[in-house]
Amino acid sequence: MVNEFLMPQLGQSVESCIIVEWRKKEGDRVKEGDVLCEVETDKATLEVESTLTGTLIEILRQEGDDVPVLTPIALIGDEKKNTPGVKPEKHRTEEIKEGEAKDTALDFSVSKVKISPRAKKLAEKNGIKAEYYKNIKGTGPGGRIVEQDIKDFLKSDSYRDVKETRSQETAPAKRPVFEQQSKPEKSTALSGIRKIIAKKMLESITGSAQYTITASADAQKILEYRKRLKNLSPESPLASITINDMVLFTTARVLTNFKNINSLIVNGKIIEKTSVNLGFAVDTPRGLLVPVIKNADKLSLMQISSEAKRLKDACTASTVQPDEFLDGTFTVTNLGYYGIESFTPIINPPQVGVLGVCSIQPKPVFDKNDESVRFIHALKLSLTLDHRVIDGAPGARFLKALCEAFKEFDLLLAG
Amino acid sequence: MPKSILINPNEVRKAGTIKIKDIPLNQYKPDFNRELQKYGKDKLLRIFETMLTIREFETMLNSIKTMGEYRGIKYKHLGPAHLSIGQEAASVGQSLNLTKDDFIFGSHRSHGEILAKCFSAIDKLKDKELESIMKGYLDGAILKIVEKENKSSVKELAEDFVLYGTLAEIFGRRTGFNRGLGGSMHAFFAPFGSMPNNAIVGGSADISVGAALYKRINRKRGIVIANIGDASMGCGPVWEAITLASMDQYHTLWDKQMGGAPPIMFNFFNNFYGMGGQTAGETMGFKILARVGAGVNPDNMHSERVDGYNPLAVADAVERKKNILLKGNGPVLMDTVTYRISGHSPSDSSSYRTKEEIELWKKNDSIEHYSAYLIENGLLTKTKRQDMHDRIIEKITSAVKKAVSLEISPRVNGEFIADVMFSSQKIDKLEDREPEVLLPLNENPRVKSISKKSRSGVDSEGNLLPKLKVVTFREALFEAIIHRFYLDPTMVAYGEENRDWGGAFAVYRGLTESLPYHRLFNTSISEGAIAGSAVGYALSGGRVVAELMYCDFMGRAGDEIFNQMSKWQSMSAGILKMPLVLRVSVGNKYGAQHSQDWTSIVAHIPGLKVMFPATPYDAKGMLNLALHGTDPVVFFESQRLYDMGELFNPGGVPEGYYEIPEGKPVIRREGKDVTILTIGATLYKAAEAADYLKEHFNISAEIIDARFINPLDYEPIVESVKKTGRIVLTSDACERGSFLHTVASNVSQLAFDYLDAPAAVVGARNWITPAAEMEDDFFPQKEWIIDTIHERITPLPGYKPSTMQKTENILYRNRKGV
Repeated sequence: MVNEFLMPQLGQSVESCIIVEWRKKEGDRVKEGDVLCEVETDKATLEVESTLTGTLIEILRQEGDDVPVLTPIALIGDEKKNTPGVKPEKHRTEEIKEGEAKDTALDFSVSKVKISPRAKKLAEKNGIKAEYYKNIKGTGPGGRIVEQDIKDFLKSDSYRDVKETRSQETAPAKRPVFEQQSKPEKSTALSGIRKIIAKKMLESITGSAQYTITASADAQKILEYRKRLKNLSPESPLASITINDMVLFTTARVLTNFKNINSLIVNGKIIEKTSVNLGFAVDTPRGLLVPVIKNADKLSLMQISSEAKRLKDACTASTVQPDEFLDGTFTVTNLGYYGIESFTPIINPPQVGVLGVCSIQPKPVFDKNDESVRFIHALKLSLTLDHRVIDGAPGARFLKALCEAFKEFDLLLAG
Repeated sequence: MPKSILINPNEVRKAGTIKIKDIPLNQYKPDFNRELQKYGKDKLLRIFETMLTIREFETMLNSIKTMGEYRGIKYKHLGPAHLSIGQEAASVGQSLNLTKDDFIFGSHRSHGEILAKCFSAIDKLKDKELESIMKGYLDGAILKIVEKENKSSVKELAEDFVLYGTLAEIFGRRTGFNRGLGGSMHAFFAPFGSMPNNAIVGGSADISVGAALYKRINRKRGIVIANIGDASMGCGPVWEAITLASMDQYHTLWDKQMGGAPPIMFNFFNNFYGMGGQTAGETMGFKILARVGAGVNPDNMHSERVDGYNPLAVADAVERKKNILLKGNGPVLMDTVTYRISGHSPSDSSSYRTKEEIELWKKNDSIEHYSAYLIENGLLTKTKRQDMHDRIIEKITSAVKKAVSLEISPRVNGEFIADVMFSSQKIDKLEDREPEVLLPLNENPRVKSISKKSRSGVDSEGNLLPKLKVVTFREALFEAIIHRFYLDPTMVAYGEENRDWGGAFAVYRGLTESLPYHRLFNTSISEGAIAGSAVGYALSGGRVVAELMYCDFMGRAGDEIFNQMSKWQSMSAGILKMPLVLRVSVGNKYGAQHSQDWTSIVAHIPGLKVMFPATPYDAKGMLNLALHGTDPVVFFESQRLYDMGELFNPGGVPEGYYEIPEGKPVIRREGKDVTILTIGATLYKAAEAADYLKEHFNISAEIIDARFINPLDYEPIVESVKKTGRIVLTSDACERGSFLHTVASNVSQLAFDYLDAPAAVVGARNWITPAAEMEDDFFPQKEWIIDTIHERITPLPGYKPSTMQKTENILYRNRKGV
């Protein structure tokens, strides 16, 4: 049995570490707790202890390598049982080394998965990157991923067609109708981004006191504004501004007045950040990515829009740079595309808050003047906060301020 | 086999002896007065001048090859130059009494023969004819170059034309006789009767027989001489050519008014060496080559040894033999004694012969002897000889200057060669006259019999009809052949058992009733000469269908198919055409030497069109196509299919004339999940496999029948693979080196991004073909195709393969070499 030893997540904000020195060499016996190597984060130099016992079969990352957390850096296992069966694993990890020069942060697991050119073509057409292939079960000879496997994958829950989710106003997309007979259940090991997400989210939930509050904002102004923008010439850059961009813009502006929300909790200390670095969730075929718009509070709506678009495209194309995930102070995640009316977003530690954006729905409003009920378009917002830092009332104040800002969106633009 | 010839046991078992007639050796007696009277002073001098021209021409080439220059003109010639210094009298003597209608074919050592034959033609042709030939040849390209220097006469211009055209050809120039694509060993100039020279020893023998058959069958003027070397007597195809040329049937069975045997002379320029091997005393047993004629027929092939060091002795013999040939009493064998004073090639250090021997022959040098003879008899003086020599040097120097210049004499670019690989014309008939037939077409018994049959292999409900009630594959072929026989008067068909038997597989049954002997005949068992003579027949201007009874016998015709049939169109730069269809039957059930599909071997040879129909509809349409064209076609027919009716084309086999578009594969069955490409009879196995896949796995296979091997349009195949993403290729050819691998490789490149699995080839095993009962272990079966799909392309749920088609088996089998 041979196991991959992963670069540990050394602190919640650490994305990658540089290996300073290997303390063990290939062939050495290692016990759980032995120091394998010394690594350097942006904050400190740390010793990495083995969580495994066995022989250090192979060092996959060399001294000086900047290695994303939770990616394999060594193979540890029982030499005697090092049967040919595990060799593909080895080749796979060798590939990682080749790929690292290009994009360290995203090259989690570029793997030499066997995939037919046709399947590859279809995967690429649908934005599925090579890193993801190993999560797809190949049913061809020798486990080769063939076209049908990609087709099956595209219909699976793991994949949502980006094209179907463009318009925020539309009702949830119908699930594709399968004419397929029942397929065997698919079991896929956690790896790559999935692993990171799993670990981070679990740490978030277990390591903080999260609660979610929900309110709805009058969306009349933002919808009108969006309509005006849409009516502009398609060449105008303004025409591409989305509702989500407006949400990002509004959140960034409101956050400047809520230093307690725009803060981090690190090693038991609350650090209030002076500028707003706004993370936003991007759904990619490889999983959730959260790029960060730096100094979002100082950007215009147009600037936010183009930066958000740039980062989103970079995530989809896997060209996003590691530092574009760093230093977020607050996160916005938007499920409004899917008609979601309320949800409990999970905080991206060490941040203390995350704003969940739901769909815009009609909402009855009682008009005191003529005692009538009318319907307005309301944008539902679900705000999750870390109770360790923010109590309910300050949280509610922030959400109320947000709702008011949306309602008077045009005024906000003046600032 | 003809019933008219009785084999009488009383006759053949009778005791007796064979009396062999005498074979004359060097019987020519010089007699100056008689010679002067016959030829006149000018001609006798002209003989000398031509000999001297050849000597100087070859000396020039020797100088260029060995010293890189000739009279101050520097040039490096990389290619060959097999020189004939010492053999001038033989070539000049031979051509002296020939006209441009007499063809001479030659060997790698034929520069002298080209010049001698062309000069002889120049002497005999009128100025107007010469001008017209020179203007017409390659659109006057050669003439334009030589006519710039003012010449006193058309004949002198024509000489310059020949010297330059030959030399530019030797140097590989666009302004050579064959655009530089033939070179030293293949140069020729057909308008003067100098026909292709051949770099394969003895290669001209069977080609010349074909040219002679063309002349006899189409009643053309002149004789044909195969100039081959003494050592070529050891080559099988030469013996086959002699055999084919001396068949009794020309006298016993062919219509008397056809005039007898083909007018062919096998002239052995006997210089006593095959490279270094001495034919008399070392490598052959005949002692005197002329003896061989006695082994061929009661006439000894009119065999004779002639002194090739006396041009007048040779001229006398050729004149006498020509008369024999024109009377239809050939073939003739000539043992023309000569000697090359130069080496085999410039790299020859003459390690195999003594200086003394060379000296002896130099003392006998025909140029000196003939010159002395003329001087002695007052026709020539030393001064006149010197003047003559100077003039020749001047002419040759002028030709060399032009031929070495890349400005005056450029080379063709590579793509030009692509353009002349095939002539790709469609010609209804190669001569405009009534074809000779014995019956109106509709009275032919087989045509009548076919007219009563179903054109389709199935009835209106799709049930298979019995083979006797349908137009079968063989009858479809018959329809194509008889159609062209009644259209093209030059068309002939021959091979083994072609006439009364109707071909071993009865494709020709019924042709005997329609065609005179000279259009359809049986040959000796001489596959080399069958193919080689067909080459000669076709390049002379006739359409020919030659047949090899089994594909396996192609080995016997290797040179003829690989080097001759395939190459003469391009080596002549398109001057020659090759309307030759070689029908090749692919066997089975007869074991290892009668069951091989060798399509891949010919696929590898540039210059051949290769077709392999698998249904009667295609058989007729593709043979129609082949018989309409001007290119050499190897036409494969699977013996499994001769009895088949048409099962794929809904209307069956059309009654009228139609052609299949060249190179177009056909989709036999549409599908979307996997493409099965077949070549030949495996189409039917593929159909079985497709049925099985549909029934058990709901996989829809698209079947493509390539039917063409070269040329081949890959587009329909690529389009299919783009759709299905998967391809299995299958044919009865042995897997290793199969043409299918070429297709697979090309498909992988042309449709790489569309492939969901590697292209997989299912060929016959790399074994001998076993006994008929065991053939299922050797030839691809339905199961092999399905197993291959399962193992290499897409695992079929629950399927248990019965044969070994895993990729590991590829490794294992190749490691073992099987």
